Amino acid sequence: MVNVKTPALGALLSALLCTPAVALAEDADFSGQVRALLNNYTSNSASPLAIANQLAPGLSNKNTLLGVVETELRASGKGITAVATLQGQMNDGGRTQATAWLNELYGSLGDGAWQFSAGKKTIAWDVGYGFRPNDVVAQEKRRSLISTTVIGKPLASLEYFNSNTSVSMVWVNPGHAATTDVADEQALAARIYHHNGGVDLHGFGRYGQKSGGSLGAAASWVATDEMEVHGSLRFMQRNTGLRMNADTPLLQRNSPWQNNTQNNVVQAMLGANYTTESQHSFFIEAWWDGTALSDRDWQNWNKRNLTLQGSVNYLPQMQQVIGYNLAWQNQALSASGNIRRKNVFARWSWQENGWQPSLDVLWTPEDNGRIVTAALGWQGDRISINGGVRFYGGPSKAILAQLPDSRTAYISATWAF
Amino acid sequence: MKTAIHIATLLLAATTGLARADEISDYLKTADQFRVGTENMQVETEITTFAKDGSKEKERNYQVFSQANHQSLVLMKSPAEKGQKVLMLGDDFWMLLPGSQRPLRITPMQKLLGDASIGDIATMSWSQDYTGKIVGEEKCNDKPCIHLSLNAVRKSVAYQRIELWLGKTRHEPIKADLYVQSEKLAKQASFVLDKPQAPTAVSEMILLDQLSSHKETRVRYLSRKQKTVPEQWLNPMFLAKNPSLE
Repeated sequence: MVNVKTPALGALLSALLCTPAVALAEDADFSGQVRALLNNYTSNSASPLAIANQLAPGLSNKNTLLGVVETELRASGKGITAVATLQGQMNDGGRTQATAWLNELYGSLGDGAWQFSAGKKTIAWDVGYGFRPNDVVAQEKRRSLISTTVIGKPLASLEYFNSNTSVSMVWVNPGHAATTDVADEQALAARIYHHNGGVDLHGFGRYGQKSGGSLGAAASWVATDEMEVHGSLRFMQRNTGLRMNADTPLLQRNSPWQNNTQNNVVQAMLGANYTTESQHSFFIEAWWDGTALSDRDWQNWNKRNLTLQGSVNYLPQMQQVIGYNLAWQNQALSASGNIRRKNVFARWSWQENGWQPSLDVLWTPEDNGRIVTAALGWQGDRISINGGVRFYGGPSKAILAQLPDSRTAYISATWAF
Repeated sequence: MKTAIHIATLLLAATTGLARADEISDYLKTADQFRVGTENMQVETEITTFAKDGSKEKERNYQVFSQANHQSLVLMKSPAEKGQKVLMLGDDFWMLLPGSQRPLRITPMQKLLGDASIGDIATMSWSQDYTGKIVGEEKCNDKPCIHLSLNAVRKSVAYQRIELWLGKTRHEPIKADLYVQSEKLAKQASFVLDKPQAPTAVSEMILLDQLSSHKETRVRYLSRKQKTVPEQWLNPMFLAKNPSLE
């Protein structure tokens, strides 16, 4: 899964990699971790996917247990950095799978103030935890139950730094053909950063081959010894995401969810973090994501689900087709990074003697849906143990109550070297 | 005549006060010399935490770049924390995690998290961060010592008040009671010197937690050398790139 596709970028990387491997090995810094992980999924019998599976058996054959063993290896030296992951999986159906991928492989040159990098690299921008509208390069998935190392993107970057300001210019996915997938489109992105006392200020710009321009700003402010406040705002000229026309006939031969372009889209997030002397941390964020489906879209989605389920009574011979159409409804859940436009996230955590319990809730006020996560972590000298359980729920019409899973749980042990 | 005497008395009191402030500053500068040497230093530190029963719990290694104007950069070197960094610029702090490549702005209170907080190893200058008064002469392990009561001049230091005992002759640090903002005694520190008869530097600081865990933490200073870091190293966005800092 080495993913350096562009010839120009490949040539640049080759030049950076021309350092003899032996010399690299002598000066390289190696580290890594081995992680064993067990996941358990509880299916949601009320989800459209579960009902679709009853109508058209075999549509979804999800296992309830998944065991994973993975090793992450990091090496850096002579201006070259590499991060790779080797992973083996086995589910309760006895199916095994082994995969390996390169998270990052890039070279850097610079004299201190000016830095040039090229290769497969992660560049993470923006402030906040639950939602980062201006993370326009890495576009990291947020609030994963289990943290994983982000996979970088092919890019070339030029950056300037002094003591309190930095300017970054990034060419993402160079040479990629035009695509509707914002994550894969060729784009130019820029960030300017300045810190002035207790305030960090960020300005962002991005121009995508398909998605056009976007501008953003973010700030983080340490207001008191205990409290930090942060916010982020982004305006996009265009956004492409899955949508369905309201007048789409009930039964379709292909998925009615097709890419559609929205114009003038806004994303905004505001949050605060409060830590007490006794090491309790309270975190709250609220955000608006204009790329998510609207309240009306979700009302239509609910209505269509009910109509499809009801149609089995008068079209029993079409049961399988109805099942397929219900399964396609599931695609709406991934139409955007956020399911609902309005979101509120709150988290409590406590740190004591290497233990860290935490409890968080994501609430979607438009339909009162919620995701509740409880986790417990322990950090020893080299070993860390983590476990957690996440519940999806809310009223029956809440979208979060209709996800394919009603509960996920995990336990993991990590050994760092 | 009465007015002249009154003014003279006030002037004398003010001059004595200034002299005392200078005296305290001199004491603290000398104590700082024993702890970290001069400004712009690179200090290799090893922190070992022991449980209540005396068994070793964990060991961590840190590289600390302590620079002028309250600027410090702490690099975590142990396998469990490798790649993590904490940048402290005056009252402003950032945490950098190797996986995220995104600096995290942290509050002074978050800086205190942990058995030996980052503040214990990176807040290097008592003479710049504290002022106070001389309580008097006392006995420390049967030797004469000076008891100082210090208050922070910056709100973001790890400890808002320090009761400090220095050797009477050389002003080497002997022990300290460290109080957090709420006036609770957080830790008690004692200092081990390299040569007890003619000390030149603190080789170890022993911290006893008094707030919750009651663990013992030993901070060993493995090496000290002068180092002025490039200005980019003190930019959180530069550190987020995970550059080689050698």
